[in-house]
Amino acid sequence: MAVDVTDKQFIAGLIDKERRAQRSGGRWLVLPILALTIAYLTPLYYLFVTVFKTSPEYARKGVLELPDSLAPILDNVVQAWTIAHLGEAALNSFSYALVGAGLAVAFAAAAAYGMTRLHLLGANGWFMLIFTGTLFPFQMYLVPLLFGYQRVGLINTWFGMLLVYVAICIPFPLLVLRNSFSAITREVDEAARIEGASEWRVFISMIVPNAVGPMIALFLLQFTFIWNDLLFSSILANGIEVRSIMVALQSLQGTYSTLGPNVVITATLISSIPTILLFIALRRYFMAGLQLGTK
Amino acid sequence: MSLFKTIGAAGLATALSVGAASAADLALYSDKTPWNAGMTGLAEAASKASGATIKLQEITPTDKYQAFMQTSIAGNNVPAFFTWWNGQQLNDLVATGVAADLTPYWQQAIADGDFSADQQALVSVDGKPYGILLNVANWVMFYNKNHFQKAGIANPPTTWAEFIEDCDKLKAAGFTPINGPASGGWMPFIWFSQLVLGTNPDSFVGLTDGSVAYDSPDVQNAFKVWGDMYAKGYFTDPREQDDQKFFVDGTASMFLVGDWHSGSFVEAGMKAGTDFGTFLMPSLSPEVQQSVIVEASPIVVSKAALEANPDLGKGVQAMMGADAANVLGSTVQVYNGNLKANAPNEIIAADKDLVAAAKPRALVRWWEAVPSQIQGDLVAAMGAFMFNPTADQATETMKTMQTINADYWASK
Amino acid sequence: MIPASVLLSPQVLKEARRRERRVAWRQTRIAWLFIAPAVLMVALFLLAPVVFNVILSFTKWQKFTGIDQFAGFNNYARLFRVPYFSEALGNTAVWVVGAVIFPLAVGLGLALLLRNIPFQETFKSLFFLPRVLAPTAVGAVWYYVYAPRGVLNSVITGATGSPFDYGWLYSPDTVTGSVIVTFVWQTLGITMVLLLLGLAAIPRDPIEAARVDGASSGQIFRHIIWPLLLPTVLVVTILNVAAGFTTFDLLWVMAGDYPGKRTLSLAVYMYYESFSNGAWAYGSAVAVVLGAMVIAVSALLAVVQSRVSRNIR
Repeated sequence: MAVDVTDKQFIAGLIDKERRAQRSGGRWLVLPILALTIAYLTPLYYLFVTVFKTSPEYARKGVLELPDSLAPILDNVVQAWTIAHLGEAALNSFSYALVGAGLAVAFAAAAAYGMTRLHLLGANGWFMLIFTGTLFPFQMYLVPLLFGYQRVGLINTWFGMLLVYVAICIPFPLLVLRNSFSAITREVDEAARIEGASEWRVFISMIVPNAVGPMIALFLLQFTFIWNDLLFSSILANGIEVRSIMVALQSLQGTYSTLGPNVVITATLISSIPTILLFIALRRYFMAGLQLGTK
Repeated sequence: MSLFKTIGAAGLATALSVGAASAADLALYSDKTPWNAGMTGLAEAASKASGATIKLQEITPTDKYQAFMQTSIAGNNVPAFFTWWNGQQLNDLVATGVAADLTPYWQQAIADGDFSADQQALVSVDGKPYGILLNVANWVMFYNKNHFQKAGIANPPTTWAEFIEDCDKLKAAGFTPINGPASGGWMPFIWFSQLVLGTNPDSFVGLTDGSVAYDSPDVQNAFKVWGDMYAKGYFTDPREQDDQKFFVDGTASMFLVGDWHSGSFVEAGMKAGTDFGTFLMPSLSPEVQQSVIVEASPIVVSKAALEANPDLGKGVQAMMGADAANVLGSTVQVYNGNLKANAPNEIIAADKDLVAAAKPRALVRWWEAVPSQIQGDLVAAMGAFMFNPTADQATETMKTMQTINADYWASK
Repeated sequence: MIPASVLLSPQVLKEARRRERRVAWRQTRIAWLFIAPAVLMVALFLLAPVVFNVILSFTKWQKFTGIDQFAGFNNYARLFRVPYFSEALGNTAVWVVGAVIFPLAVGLGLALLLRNIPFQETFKSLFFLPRVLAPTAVGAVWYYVYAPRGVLNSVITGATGSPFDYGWLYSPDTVTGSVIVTFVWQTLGITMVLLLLGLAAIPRDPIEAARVDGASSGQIFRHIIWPLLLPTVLVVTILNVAAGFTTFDLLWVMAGDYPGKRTLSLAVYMYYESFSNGAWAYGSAVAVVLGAMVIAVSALLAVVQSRVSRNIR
């Protein structure tokens, strides 16, 4: 049977049919997905009802019951804030994450530039050297860093902690930015060089602007990593003045803690707010960051 | 690139504000959360006397606290004051050089009649004291008087045979005879210790200095008895994390623990003397001398902190005074041994009399006596038995413990 | 075009090469400046510690004070003398398998379900959200989910009508499984999003053609979708294998009360031996073995992944 592909009515009919088929299939699928989503969100729901309960209320009520009023959250926040010194810890983690992720991405970008845009003897070797840093599990760094830091006096200092975060956050952005920079056409920097621009100028004004997207995504990933770190901070900087928010949070938690779950859960929420906000505001970049890691 | 400028500027700003916000407070670290009210009292007394601000910081459970302290010591970040243990644990700590020698304060306290020279020895290494006494406790069996009455037990047992008989009576009356928690990273050693020292106190001491093996006949006997007790349903579920829950809610009738615990029973609504009493555990056979474990916990002072701020010495004196002891006693019913202070409650007073009357052999607790490097691994092995109290697991546990033990002493 | 060699005398050529080399050398020196910060940071803070860790693992253990005399392979021999290492190794194996299979199975199912439905983006974001939370925070919440009077038991009590107060995190039978479930909860989103990307990249034509030929959904999945998705599956596997090997934060936060906690994974075991017992050298040996295993398995998977990708192209 010959079909007249120019017949608009026929085409529209086909499209409509296909849409309907998809939609009805979709409608059935929504149910299991909805059920799974509800189960999935239960821990988060628990978190949100718990932060509004007082300790006696928590003990009296079912864990998933709604709170009597919204007021107790204030007291929970005050308790979590003062007992665990959350404010100081949050400030520490924020500065580690901001400066650490920023420097790491900057250093990685510079190194990627040197490896891809300049004539560098043994560029691959240098790359492999840095990339080796991602192969080892963190457990292999801990004891040597502790003793090394003790020897040179970097232990329990803001600066020492920062250095470790910067170092850890360099290899992955380098891997990604090396690919991004390679993809930028050669003419861009050749032209600038012929006009007499310095390498630094070429890097800052020609190459970096072409890779802002991946750099923001990488910064976010590394910011989140540093903010969420427990392991390094618990060993290299656990003093109250320099410890990270996660070390402060876990110090509150445990059976023997005299605090009610409502206070601990409130502290959990407080410690998660920055990354949640970042995620909501910059979801696009997070998803992009993900794809970076798999190429 | 403005992104970098923004990051850099914001980073600099936060770095500066972090620097400005550094805390001048000193800390008193503790893993003994149930005593927080008393510890806060001590911190306040020391703050007042020394003019410094000393705040209580808690970290639990105990093995996490140890990890924190280890890294703090390795990191030259020793808290001004922190709770510790005596015995081998204190030896190891003093060897690092971070603990302050408290000889002048002890001399003063002994001269004032607050403490005795015997008590000084409890927290001394090579004759020098390195700790303020926080707690001096006898390890006794707490028992629920109402349960004993309902089960038809007139007097607490004085021999092992009577003890077993009473357990059966309690069981028949519908109670679980013994509360046996495995929580906190240390509790599994309680019944291991009791059954070994009940079998042979010399073996118990020998375990901790490498001269007796963890699979020697006396230990095998202890595990056999322990397994029999589990088989007869004497113990509560070791999975329960609230260590006193089954004792205070009336499920279990007895609880073997240091008498510093009496305060938390009272806190939970039991009346000392009316609801619960104590007795000294008999040894496993009449030929074996009765022993009692004496636990002494020190608060250690950082040498660096004391040198940096000599006024902290006044804080040390305040913590060793009778007033501070009474604060501990009245808030959390912990007795630090101060001779001028009141016994915090009648249980602790009665325990002193029990010990004075029975004259048992006093032993250092296993936890304090065992080398700290293998302490945690051995407790984990004991815990494994409590979760699976079979003969096979007992053999396995003893083998594991002896391997760890032999390995440690061989590497010395 | 006239070849340069004909046009230029050997001397001119030599001169030109020299100049070229000089320019190259100058660029190399500038390039060194660009790579120096990254190279120095990584060498000082990541590579030097790894070397030091290996050295440390051949020394004697000493509490607090660090390196002592050399001990040969004594620390490594101890791994096998003491049963804890093999226990931790066994649990780590469970973790690796669990961390690979469950997120993949559930994530793939979810990705296939989500492929054609409305509000796909919303669902994707919801499932992805736990990924940006810290394991420490996730563990703190899930600790109360599993508590005897926690969320899970209250749901079970509500469903069955009889009180249920099982301690999920306190029993050897359930502790590892429970924490793995939490891990899956946290990583499901990222796995699913990656798989969705992989699915989106599969051309529709062969699927349509197969459907026209009367192939069932199962056949289409097995013969068309799965082979094309395999490279993505392997990428996800590589990510999760590494996570499974080195899992620490969740166990540290959630299983702190479990008596056998020190052997729940090699990472936790290493932490306890080094930082709680003060057996630094022995802990380093555990770390070296862990590192060797992670690298070996990851390298193997990477080789498989590149083979599979090449075959598809």
